Amino acid sequence: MLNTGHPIEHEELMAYLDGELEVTRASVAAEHLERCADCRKLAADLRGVSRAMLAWEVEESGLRPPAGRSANLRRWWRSKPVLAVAASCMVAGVWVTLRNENLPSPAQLASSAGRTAMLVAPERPPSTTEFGTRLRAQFTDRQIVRTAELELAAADLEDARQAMEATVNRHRGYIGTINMKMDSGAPRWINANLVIPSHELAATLAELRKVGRVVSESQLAEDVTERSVDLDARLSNARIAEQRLKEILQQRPGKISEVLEVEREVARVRGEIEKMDAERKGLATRVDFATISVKVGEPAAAQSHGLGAAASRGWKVLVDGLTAVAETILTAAPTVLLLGALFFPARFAWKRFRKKSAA
Amino acid sequence: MTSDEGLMLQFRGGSREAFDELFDRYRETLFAFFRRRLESRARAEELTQETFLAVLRATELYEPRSPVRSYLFGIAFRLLSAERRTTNRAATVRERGLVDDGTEQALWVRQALSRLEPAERDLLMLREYEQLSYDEIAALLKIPVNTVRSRLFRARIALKEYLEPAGKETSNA
Repeated sequence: MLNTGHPIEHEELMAYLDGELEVTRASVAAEHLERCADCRKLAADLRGVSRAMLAWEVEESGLRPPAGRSANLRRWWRSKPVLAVAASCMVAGVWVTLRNENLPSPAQLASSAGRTAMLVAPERPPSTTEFGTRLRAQFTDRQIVRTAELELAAADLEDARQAMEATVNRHRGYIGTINMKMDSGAPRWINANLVIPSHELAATLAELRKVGRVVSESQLAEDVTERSVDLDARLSNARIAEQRLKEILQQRPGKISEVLEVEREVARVRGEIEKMDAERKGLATRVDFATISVKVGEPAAAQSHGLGAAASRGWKVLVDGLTAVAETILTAAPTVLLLGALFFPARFAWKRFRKKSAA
Repeated sequence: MTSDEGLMLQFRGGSREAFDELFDRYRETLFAFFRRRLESRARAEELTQETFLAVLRATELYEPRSPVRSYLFGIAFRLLSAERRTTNRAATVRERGLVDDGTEQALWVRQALSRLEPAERDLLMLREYEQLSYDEIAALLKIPVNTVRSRLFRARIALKEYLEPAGKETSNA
């Protein structure tokens, strides 16, 4: 655009205001602005547009990084060689596709956006969402649900219970449930479910092992990363669907029956959101907190040592054997008596029959 | 303070902390980029995350000669273009936002922007909201810098007209 009587074009003036004009032209523009009222007016208008546009502010997102903050990627790759190989293959694939370009290619990004669109368009095939889930799972800290079972034998169950409680408190956990049978004259035991922060599990188990003699122990680690990521994606889908339904409700009023139908759909989606939200929180809690199932019993007498203990065990074996015989006899007695009651009359009848036949 | 490019190199070297720092620096900027161009806040959040996921995926492709800021907006703009193709929203600015997401003046600006030609609107918004330089915009939109300047000027003058009070507009007509 040429401006008769102006040493600079209007576009140059705008570039000058934007700090985008080369130095030599910028000095001309600055000098001209001082002298030309028209250009000062134009400059004021352009600045006014920029100022007006600032009125459109955007709320904060509150987003969190796609993966957790604690992990160092290099450590992560080393600690998870299988995923590292998978990730390397993926990066290699991307590199082969895009080696001629600095940025990811449009095809890749379109594909990526397609995956994103999948998250908001439930009607699409699920496979892409699953791919997206796996992809996110690869770049997300592994989420592991840890459980352990521990069976102990302790001479004094009351001491064992107190030691167990102290251990749980020390590791900032709590006792979920506890059942005790403390009657004398019968085997006594304690069953407890302990809930411990996951990172305290190993230390807690180490202390619990000192409460008594370890009879058995098992640990289970369940990787729920993909499940968690999938849940996040489905939750996001549902929220978007809900928002769209609400927008439809606000912007496209139709027949009452249609409005009611949309409202029912909104209620259904809301129900799903709440259900998934609860599941997500439950899963997160299970990841954050490990559970230990502890059973503490008194030591079996058979495992005592010494002559007295051996004699005691012998006596117990004898008593148990006699008891077993008595139990067998008593169990069989009714049947034996019944058969006896039938046998003798039958035998008597048979003998009389033989005698008559002989005569 | 470490530069964006320095952080990106650290991230390529395996530092998760560097990535998190980059995320913190550009999170709101990228979210605002998508938020102003899409009706759905949730979708804007999704695409912001997708942008960073793309960085994670293609970290080896970043070259130090390219400013991180341009690199990120390059990814974001391509994601946005793909989103528009997918949803047939064809470069429409949000004309209907949530009731509570802006002032009356903001609504006025949004409506005025929606009246611009899509190409000019994109360009103007990249300049005003994302504060990209003419060169960066030219690289992003794959057009010459001179075209950026002329379109930007046209867009600003047009927007000035659209922002004028209705009474003045009609009296001029």
